[in-house]
Amino acid sequence: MERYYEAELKGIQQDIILMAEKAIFNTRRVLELFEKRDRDICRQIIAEDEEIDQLELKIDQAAVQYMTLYQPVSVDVRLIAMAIKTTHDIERIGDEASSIAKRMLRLFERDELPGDNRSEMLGIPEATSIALAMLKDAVDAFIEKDVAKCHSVVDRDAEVDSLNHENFEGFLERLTSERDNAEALMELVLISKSIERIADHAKNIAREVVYYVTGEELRHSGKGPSRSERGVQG
Amino acid sequence: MVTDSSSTQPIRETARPVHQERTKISTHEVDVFYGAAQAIRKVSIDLYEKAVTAFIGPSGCGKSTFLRCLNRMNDTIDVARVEGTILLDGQDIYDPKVDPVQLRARVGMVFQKPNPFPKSIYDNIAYGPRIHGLATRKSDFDDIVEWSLRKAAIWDEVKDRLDQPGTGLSGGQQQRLCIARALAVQPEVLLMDEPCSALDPIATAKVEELIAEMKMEYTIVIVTHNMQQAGRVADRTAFFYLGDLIEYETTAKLFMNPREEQTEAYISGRFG
Amino acid sequence: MDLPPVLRSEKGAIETIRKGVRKRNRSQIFLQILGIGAISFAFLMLAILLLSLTSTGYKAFVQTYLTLDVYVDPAEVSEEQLPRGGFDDVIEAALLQYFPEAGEDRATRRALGGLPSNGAQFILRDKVAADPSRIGETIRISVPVSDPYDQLNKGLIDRETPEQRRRVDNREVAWFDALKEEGLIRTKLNWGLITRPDSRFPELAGLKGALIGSFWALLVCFVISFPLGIGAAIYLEEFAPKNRVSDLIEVNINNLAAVPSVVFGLLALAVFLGWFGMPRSAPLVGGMTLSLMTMPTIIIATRAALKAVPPSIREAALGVGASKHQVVFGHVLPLAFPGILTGTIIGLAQALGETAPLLLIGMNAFITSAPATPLDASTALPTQIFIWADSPERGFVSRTSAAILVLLSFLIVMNGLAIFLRNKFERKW
Repeated sequence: MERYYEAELKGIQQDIILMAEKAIFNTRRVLELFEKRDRDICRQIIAEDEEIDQLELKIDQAAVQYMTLYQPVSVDVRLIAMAIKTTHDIERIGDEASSIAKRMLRLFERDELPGDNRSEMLGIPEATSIALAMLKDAVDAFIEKDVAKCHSVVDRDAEVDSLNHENFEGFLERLTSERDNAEALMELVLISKSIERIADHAKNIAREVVYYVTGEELRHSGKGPSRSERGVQG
Repeated sequence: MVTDSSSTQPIRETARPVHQERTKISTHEVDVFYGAAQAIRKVSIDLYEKAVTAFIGPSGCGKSTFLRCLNRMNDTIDVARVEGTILLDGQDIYDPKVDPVQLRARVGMVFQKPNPFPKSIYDNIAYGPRIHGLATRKSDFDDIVEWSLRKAAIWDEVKDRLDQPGTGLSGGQQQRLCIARALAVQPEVLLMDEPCSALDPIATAKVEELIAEMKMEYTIVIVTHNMQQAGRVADRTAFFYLGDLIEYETTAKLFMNPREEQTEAYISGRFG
Repeated sequence: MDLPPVLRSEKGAIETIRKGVRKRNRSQIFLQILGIGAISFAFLMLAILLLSLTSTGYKAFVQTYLTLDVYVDPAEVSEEQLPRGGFDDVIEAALLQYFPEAGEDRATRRALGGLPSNGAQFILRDKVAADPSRIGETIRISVPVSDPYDQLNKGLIDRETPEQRRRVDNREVAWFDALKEEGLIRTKLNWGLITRPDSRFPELAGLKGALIGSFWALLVCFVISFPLGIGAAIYLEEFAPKNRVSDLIEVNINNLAAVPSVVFGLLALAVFLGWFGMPRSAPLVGGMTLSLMTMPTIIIATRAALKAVPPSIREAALGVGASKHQVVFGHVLPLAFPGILTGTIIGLAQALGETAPLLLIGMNAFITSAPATPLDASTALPTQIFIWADSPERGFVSRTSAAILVLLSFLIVMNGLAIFLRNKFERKW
């Protein structure tokens, strides 16, 4: 039976998706930025982040209002709880994208990006694509209530982590030979770290989707997703 | 849906530790018939000592009927018939040797509508002890009355007008008076049949607070239409539907992540 | 969804509704008028009844008295033979003092002697018997005048009527007027109406016997029907299993309350008088007969009162461990008692007004002494009215109305008491 106040819950759900789409879009722009090295893209990313922040406020407000007025239980209260946590994660993704854009802008400004061949960014673009895919899958999993997809998102986080580690090692190595580029290399280390953070947030979103769908809490449970569960879920 | 319950920590139990849980009432495949109609089908449930258990479910689901089996209040209805076993501390309460009068002293009841006797507040409380012969001297009765009214958190409000009719109190006070009256005969179990449905939110809050306090000493079973109330006061919640016990779980689990779709539909208002 | 075609009009539904409202208001007013009319008619009839009763009856509440100084002549009255003394001669002699000329011929003397009530001699005798030392003294007595003079005094006999068609002739009117001028005739409140038993003479007839008879009958009726009725009702309502037999009993009790009272009279005649050989005309038997009628009323009223006690009270008592009989006698019955009492009073009021069964057991006998015990022959209020209404003497016309008023006032008092009890003790749940 459809409840007469179902629309409010659906509204929250749709706003989460909208907000997530914006974060996906910005992450994709970051990837684009790495390829095209365009200052305009930087500015667009920074401007777009403002909208993501506004959406976070709107969703949080709606969630608290829904809790107060309708005292949700079960899957409804899980959606509300997820909404509040997820918006925070998405907002952080937006922030990370924006901070990457700012760092890139700084690099362009000082013309310090060494060379223009891709290799100088090491594994950053690859990590970004993986993080982007994770984020997309997490949002799809939310729309489709697909627990298996969530688990795959969580699993992929390790790849980004190791890429980030490799990047760190790579940049550290170059630091010894390219002393003049130290500042630029530091920025790149931090950009790589930001990408790693984006993947982390995507993983968080995936875990929150699992909680929303099943009520299971994956955080701090000390156990990762077991392979056996995947086939059954959804 | 596969759920691994061990990964879902019942928050309520970590927040309010339930010491050494012991089964107080245990029912096995209880059927209740009203004439030809079956009101309760094969209900088996264990109710724990010094804990609050809530029965929820839509009107006519049999939760009140089942509650009334637990102190044999259904005996007073000619057409009602109870089958199956109900054990109180391991003893079958429908055993012919068990006297329902004595049983009701052990398993007290509080009703939907506050129903004080049209007598003084004092006599309302003293009635139970008097018929059971718990006291003979006036001073003993005085002690019982004060003790009961204090237990029910209403002593301070009525101590100066014990001789006035209980029906003159406000609805919430009347209900606490009825709780005091039930406590006066020293029950072990308290059955509450929608005790707050006739009360305003403030009076309801007071009764709920009282339930939380009484839980330390009594086994409480409460039927309620108000799911938030079940959520607030109950350690465990049982969901009844059309005479069946659908789901029985810790309250937090039942409300946050019910196992059955019928429960989910009912508690979230998607019923119908 | 689209509006159904029937609702689609240019003016909209409100116009149709407005038209309908006018029609509905008209029929409402019509019904109101009808109701007010019905009530007015009922009140008019009641008013006519009461008016005609009081207009004829009020004259029976006063009585014309003659004050006489009587010389108790030892020649006529002797202490030894008081019952046989010539008290009428003594009174006649006292009257002759005022009208010496009437003593000349015997017929006139007899006529003059008929001015005071026939009962005057007994009033005098009772006085002398109470104090025999007064023989030989002159005693002032106040005695009722006989019925025709009473009627004359109350204006019920028209002095303009031709003498032949008048119950008092001109000479008798002249005597009466002369006495009135002497100040010997006085109109006093007629306490005799309730303090004297029945009599052949209207001016002496009173309701004492009927009142006491009715009292005994009602007492017997109450003593029998109240405990039995309540007991039966409690058993049926609280303890009896609900099955065909109890249904049958219930239906029969309801039917019993609707049985015509004369049937109960016949039953009493056959059973109480015929088989058991109980005394005729006795209030005991009357009360037993009436209790047959009152009991179903009390049973029905009691059951209704028991049913009206909310189940929550029973549950409350059961919930603290009261047993069934503790619930019934400790809670339900006390709460139902005002209702039971009200029903009982109304049942007794019905019994008080009941005539037919009493006629059949002979409580319409002519009895000139009030019953001392419920076993003595007696009348009751309604049967007394029946007797008086049947009597040919003119004086009984107003007595009948007066007796009806007395009966009605008792009924009003009893019903008033019932209403008072109900309002005072009735509980709103």
